[in-house]
Amino acid sequence: MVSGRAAGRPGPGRPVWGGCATPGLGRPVALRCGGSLCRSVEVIWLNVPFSFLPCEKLVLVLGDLHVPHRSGGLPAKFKKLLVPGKIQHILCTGNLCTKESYDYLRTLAVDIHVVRGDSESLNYPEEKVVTVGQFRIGLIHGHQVIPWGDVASLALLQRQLDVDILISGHTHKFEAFEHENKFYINPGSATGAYNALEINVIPSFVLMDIQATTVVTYVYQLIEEDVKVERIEFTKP
Amino acid sequence: MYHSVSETSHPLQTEEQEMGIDPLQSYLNKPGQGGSNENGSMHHSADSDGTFISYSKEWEELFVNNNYLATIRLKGINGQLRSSRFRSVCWKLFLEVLPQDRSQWIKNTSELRTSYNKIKEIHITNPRKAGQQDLIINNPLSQDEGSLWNKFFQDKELRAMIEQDVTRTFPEMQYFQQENVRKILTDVLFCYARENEQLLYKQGMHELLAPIVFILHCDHQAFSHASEAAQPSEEMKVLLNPEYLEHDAYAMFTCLMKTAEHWFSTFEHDSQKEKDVMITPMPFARPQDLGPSIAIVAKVNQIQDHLLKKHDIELYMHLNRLEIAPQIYGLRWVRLLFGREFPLQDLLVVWDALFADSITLNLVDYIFVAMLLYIRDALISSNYQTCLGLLMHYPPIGDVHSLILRALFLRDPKKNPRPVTHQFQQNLDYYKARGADLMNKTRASAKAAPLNINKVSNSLLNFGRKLIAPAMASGSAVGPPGSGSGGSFPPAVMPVRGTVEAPQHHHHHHHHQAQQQRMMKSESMPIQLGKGQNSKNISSSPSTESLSGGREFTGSPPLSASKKDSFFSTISRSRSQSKTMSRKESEGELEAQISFLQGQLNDLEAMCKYCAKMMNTHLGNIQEVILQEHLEKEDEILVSLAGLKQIKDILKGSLRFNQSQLEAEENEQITIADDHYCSNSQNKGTSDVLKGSVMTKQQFFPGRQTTTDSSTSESKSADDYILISKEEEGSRSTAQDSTQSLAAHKEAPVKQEAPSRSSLIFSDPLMGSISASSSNLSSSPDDDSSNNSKDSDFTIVSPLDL
Repeated sequence: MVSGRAAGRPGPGRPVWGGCATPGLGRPVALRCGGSLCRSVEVIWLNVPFSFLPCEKLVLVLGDLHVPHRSGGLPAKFKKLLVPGKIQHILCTGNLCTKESYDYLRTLAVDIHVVRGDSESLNYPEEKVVTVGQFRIGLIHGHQVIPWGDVASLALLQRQLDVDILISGHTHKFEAFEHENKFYINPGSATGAYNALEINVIPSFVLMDIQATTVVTYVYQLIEEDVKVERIEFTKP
Repeated sequence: MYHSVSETSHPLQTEEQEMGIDPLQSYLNKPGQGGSNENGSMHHSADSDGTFISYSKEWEELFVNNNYLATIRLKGINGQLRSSRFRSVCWKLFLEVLPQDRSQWIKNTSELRTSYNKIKEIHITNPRKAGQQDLIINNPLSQDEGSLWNKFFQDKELRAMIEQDVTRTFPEMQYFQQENVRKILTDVLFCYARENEQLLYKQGMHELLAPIVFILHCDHQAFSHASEAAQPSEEMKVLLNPEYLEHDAYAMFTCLMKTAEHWFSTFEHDSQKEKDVMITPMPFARPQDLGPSIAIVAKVNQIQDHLLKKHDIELYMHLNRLEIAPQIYGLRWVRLLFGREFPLQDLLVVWDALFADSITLNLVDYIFVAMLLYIRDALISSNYQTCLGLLMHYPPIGDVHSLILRALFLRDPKKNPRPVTHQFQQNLDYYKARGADLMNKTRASAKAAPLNINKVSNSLLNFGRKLIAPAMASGSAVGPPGSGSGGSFPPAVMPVRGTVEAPQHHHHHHHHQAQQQRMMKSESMPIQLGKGQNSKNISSSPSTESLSGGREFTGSPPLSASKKDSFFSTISRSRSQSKTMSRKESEGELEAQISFLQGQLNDLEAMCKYCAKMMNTHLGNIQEVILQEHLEKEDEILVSLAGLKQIKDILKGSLRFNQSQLEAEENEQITIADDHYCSNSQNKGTSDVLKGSVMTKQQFFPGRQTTTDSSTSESKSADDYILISKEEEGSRSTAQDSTQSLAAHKEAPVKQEAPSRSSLIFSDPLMGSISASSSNLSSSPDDDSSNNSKDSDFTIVSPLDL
């Protein structure tokens, strides 16, 4: 449980900078040396502590677009689903590759958090910690985690960042699982771009519906020209 | 007449004295009182016992008798629910939320409440709590029609729209700033919008709902306060249960909207008609006629084009001339049921009457007109900008109940007494708003009124009736109210000089009696009568509404006695200047000074008039004697007599006194200019006499040299004639250098009488005057110069016709 170990750190929900976070509001909480890399971690609180309404947010999670190098763009069916006005935050696992992709995401929601991928042309932070509601969410592209997509390595990172949900990418393969009461999400590649090991990649992205202590994850996959939706629920213990 | 009026106003007064508790104040006090009760102070229990007794007594008075519905309707119309603690119950009855049968109340109420619960359940959705549905359809990004998520996002837009307005509801009231109240408003409006998909939510609905929620809350507060002491009856408990505020508000709101909804709909219910219009646009159609036929636009147009035209043609013409379409201000008035025009407490009184009168709210039209009439004089004397300002920021009204009385009178003049007090009130208020000028005058005129009524002869009463006849004729109210108002009307109009002039009037009347009798049949008034009256009213209009002439009389400059001309023109100039800035409080002092000076002028003028009158009689006597004597030097005597008559005319103000001439020629001979001295209107009555007498008149325009001589009248009847026509001239000249409104007013009678008169006796001169007056009407009242020129047109036209 996060709150137990997080003594001395501003707990989630505390008004650190006065309410609704804006992009770029983050400040480095600590400089940590994890593994061989010295990483700066951005911590951002996204909840609205003054709100009278229960915090209900939709967070879009996607990444590894690789436009235009490996893919022409988002599938039309995804584009049709993604309309402005519904999503409050976007978490991107990186490899947007161009500013155009970033600008497209900006049309869906103003609050975008992007981390740096391995073939990124723009400069983003290596990793980020974002707080939405009562959840601390860690965001990393994933090429730094070796072996790629390995649960134990991710768990190590999760402990280092001290997050409830860890989001990583790079494998271009959707995954969402619970491990030791923490939740791990890999949204896959939203464009279905190939990766080093796989050519046939299923385009996928994830939408998190964050309520009080529950996050409902909707997984959108484009399987044979049809959008399939899965629903995975995770409740903070 | 007076009795009936005082009786109608009496309950109002006692009501204000006895129970003039501000509900808002009581609302504010209640929590405090409740708190002290909880603190356990013993002496309060006795108080609250008393409170409860009076509370339940009020309940019994209102609802426990056989004919209770009629009683509370009457109370609502009379404004006696102002401080009632059961206003919400009354409104429920008015709006037919509660059935008339009291035994059904509890059942009915609980039914409505459960139905609202259901509605809320259906429409306020939470997609997260919905049961497992097909994820393809029910996911946050789904755009499927059946998706709860999709509905959720659509609702969110609607909700945001409603919330935007709700947060701006009565920003000055703390009550509506509370989060839970806002939530109630939003939820009710949201449910209503979802229940009425075609109408959805329209801006303004929140302003209809807010007062309902407010009175419910007030009544709940009163109830909880009263029920601390004793057990209230079951009915009270159910009806005034604070838990169901939202439910009750929804029920009442829906019932109110049954009537009001078509005012909000922008649905073009008659597209066919519109197409026709597009193909063959009506010639001379105004922009508002060409637009789509939306119900509300049609309604406000109907009010202005028919009701207002019927009750006050002058104001109607004025608004038309300024091209103020009724929807500019009327949409808001009607849609919000005047919610923005009055402070909340007054608004509630208006609504009491509106609802009590009928669920169809047809009193709205008449309140609309009454509101216009209340500010008619301000409107008529204003230009486009000021008019819009007045209409969009309706001036504070002193006694809102008088407005209701007036509306009732307008709707049904036979059943409802004419609200005389209201008129007077109005003047006061007007001047308060204008900087408190002329307050004393109006008061004086009010005092003078009853005095005059005794002194003024029957003929004067007749004049009064005649004067309002044109307007009343169309209003089908020539009967008792018309004559009654005639009695009270002229005194108010000519308070200061009334007594002095009464005999003269009589004389005048006598002279033309034969003619007048001919006129009797058509209800129009003879022009010279109108003129005579007009000169005294200076600016009164022929319409019923010209009661307000009393105000204008005080505000308008007197007939110009010659010496005051230059002095006066400066006054009028400064007056017109100040008029443009009249809104500013700083002008108030100046206005007061002006009014004082004008009062002095009026006095002087009255004196001059009196002198002239006396001179007239004596000169007449002398002339008669001389003519009989056949003296040798008769001619010389007659010439000097003529000179004396000229002096008399100057005193009366019918001849303009030219100061430059006085300086230059030592008043050797007063010259008289254009021979339009004989007004067209006069010669039919005394046409034979007129041949000999060429009464001409020096027309005074600032900066224009005046001129030629003409022979004076030698016959007695011609003298009488002078007396009449001079008044006309006087009023004309006054109008020239004084406020423009006067010009408009003055012309109006001519215009109105014209048709009937022309049919009777002569046509051409009238046609001339019609054209002149109509052209005058079409000019902006703030346009001094054009008015002057128009006036001169007018005077030139008539001699030609002669």
